[in-house]
Amino acid sequence: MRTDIVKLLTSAAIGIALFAIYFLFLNSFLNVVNLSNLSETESIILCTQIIRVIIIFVVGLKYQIQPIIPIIVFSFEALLIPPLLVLIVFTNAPFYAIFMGVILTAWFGATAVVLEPYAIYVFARNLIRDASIIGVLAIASFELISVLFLSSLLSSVTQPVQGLTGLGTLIITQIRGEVGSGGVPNPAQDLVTTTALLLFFVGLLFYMAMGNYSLGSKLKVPGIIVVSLVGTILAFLWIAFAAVREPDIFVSLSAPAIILTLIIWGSARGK
Amino acid sequence: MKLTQRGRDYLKAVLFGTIIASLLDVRLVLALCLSLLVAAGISEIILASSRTGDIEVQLQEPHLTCFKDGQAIEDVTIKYKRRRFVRVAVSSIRGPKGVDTISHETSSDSPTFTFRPRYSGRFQGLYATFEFLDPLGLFRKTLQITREDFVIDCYPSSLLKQVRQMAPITLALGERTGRAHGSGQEFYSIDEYNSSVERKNIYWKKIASLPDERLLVKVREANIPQAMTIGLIKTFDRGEKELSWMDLACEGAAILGTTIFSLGCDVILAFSSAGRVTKLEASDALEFRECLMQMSRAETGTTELNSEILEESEVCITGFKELEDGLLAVEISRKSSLLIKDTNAYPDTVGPLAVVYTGDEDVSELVNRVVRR
Repeated sequence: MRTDIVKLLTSAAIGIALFAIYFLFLNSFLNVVNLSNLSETESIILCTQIIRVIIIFVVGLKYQIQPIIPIIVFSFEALLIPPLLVLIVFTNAPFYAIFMGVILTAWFGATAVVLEPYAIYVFARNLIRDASIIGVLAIASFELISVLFLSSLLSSVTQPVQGLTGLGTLIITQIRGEVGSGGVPNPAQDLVTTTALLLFFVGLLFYMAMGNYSLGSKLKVPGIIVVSLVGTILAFLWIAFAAVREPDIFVSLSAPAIILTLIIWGSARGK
Repeated sequence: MKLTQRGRDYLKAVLFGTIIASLLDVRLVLALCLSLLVAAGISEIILASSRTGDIEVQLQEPHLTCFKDGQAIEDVTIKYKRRRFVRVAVSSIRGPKGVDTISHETSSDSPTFTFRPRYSGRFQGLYATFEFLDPLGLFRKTLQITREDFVIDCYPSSLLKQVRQMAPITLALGERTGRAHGSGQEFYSIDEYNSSVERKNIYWKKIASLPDERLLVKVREANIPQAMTIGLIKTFDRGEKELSWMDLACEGAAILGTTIFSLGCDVILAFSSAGRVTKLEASDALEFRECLMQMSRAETGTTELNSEILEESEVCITGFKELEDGLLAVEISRKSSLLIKDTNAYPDTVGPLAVVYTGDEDVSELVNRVVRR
């Protein structure tokens, strides 16, 4: 029961943090993206994507859905690519190429807006269930990257974005740019983002420390919290110390973390 | 010190997270991974510095008793000084050989165990493995504790059987009055004369005072032995089958003893122990149980010890394997004996006063024969 409460609280904190950053993106989306003259294709993709999310969400509340089903349902547009390619090859008509481009970019845009909250919900829900901690940390990293990417996506836009195809094109361009520059941009320094990131950090720290762990009756929870917090303070002291001298994160953070992992692993191989 | 399953997953997750965060330049996740690793290091140091010798295991009842096919329940309390940061749990507990152990962990510090002996006899020793876990549950240390003072006495179920109330036969000899008519010297009652009664028993004084012409005789009381000795002859250690063999020996001794008690005699158990013949006398059921438990720990006897036991016992309990020795078999065949089967053992000689005992045989006739002699 105590384990469940810890899991519930930490997963709620992580979920709220991710949603907060997503809402920053949604706020920018409603302000920047021009939705007044959506094409028929864009409208259909957006509406059906919303309906699909609602259906999967409602069905998921009552039944156990196989993981492949949401993937197929949400990627239905991608299934249109092979027949369109065939049509392009056989007819050589530019209409099909343009149509395929509209579908893909609109699908990218609609997915970013509609699918992200569903993904955050599923992730937070799975945290309460018996998820492996390897999966938790990996998916948490990807979720954080996704929302940070989206929140920073529209913050640098100066001109209004035209519909979902415009948003999709912007996403593709931004991804290409960030892959080239080597990483996710630094998050904005506003209060909401900072608070959300702090909540995400603390939530995931406590989840990893005790959320996935059935607590013994006699081991006091403050003992775990003390150890986790002391670890965090020492890590941050190291970051503050190392960041001044060495700005390269691989040298200041990644290498020490990997070395520390190997030391701990090696020292705990006794009989 | 070793990593737990969770510890392995934790380190893999952190390493994986570090690599992803480094590749994608997500500093927050990188900082989180470093924090988690430092916390793991602190947790490891706490466990490494804890002394496992501070543990104390208290048994609520170090001497348990039960009947065969029953169960005995033991509450164990574990006391440990550094509970705040180090969790102590019983990872396994094992009773003595021949005893099934079931754990009912009410809490990690006061587990309850149920012991179900499969055989009758005395079982000694409790072997517990304790696991020490760090605050984050990533590392573990184990400590094995043996409590030799823990004893389970499993009484033979034959002690609960209802035996036929036996009266001593008239020709029984012994030092104790048998509370029935017999051949002793003590006056027991008056009866009418018949041709089978010796004339010297005619009670002339009483007849003289009678108004009629009836002939009365004095009836004397039967005598029974003060105590009867049951000897256990064991010349082989049966290895894996020792417990089941001794179980049957205890059951046999129990039913013999109960039958002897019903006659009014005491029971003496004779067996080899600590390199000599041990003789334990019991005059009531409680004493007899204790004697049986001590007999269940009997050792393999030498030829001299077995001869001594055989000489002093009225009934002996032995196995087919012992009877493969020709000389011993001949000696045993002269006694009333309870024989326990051994697989692939072929007795050299089996006497007419022997009963092959499998757990259900009636031994009253065997006891009667002993009293008659």
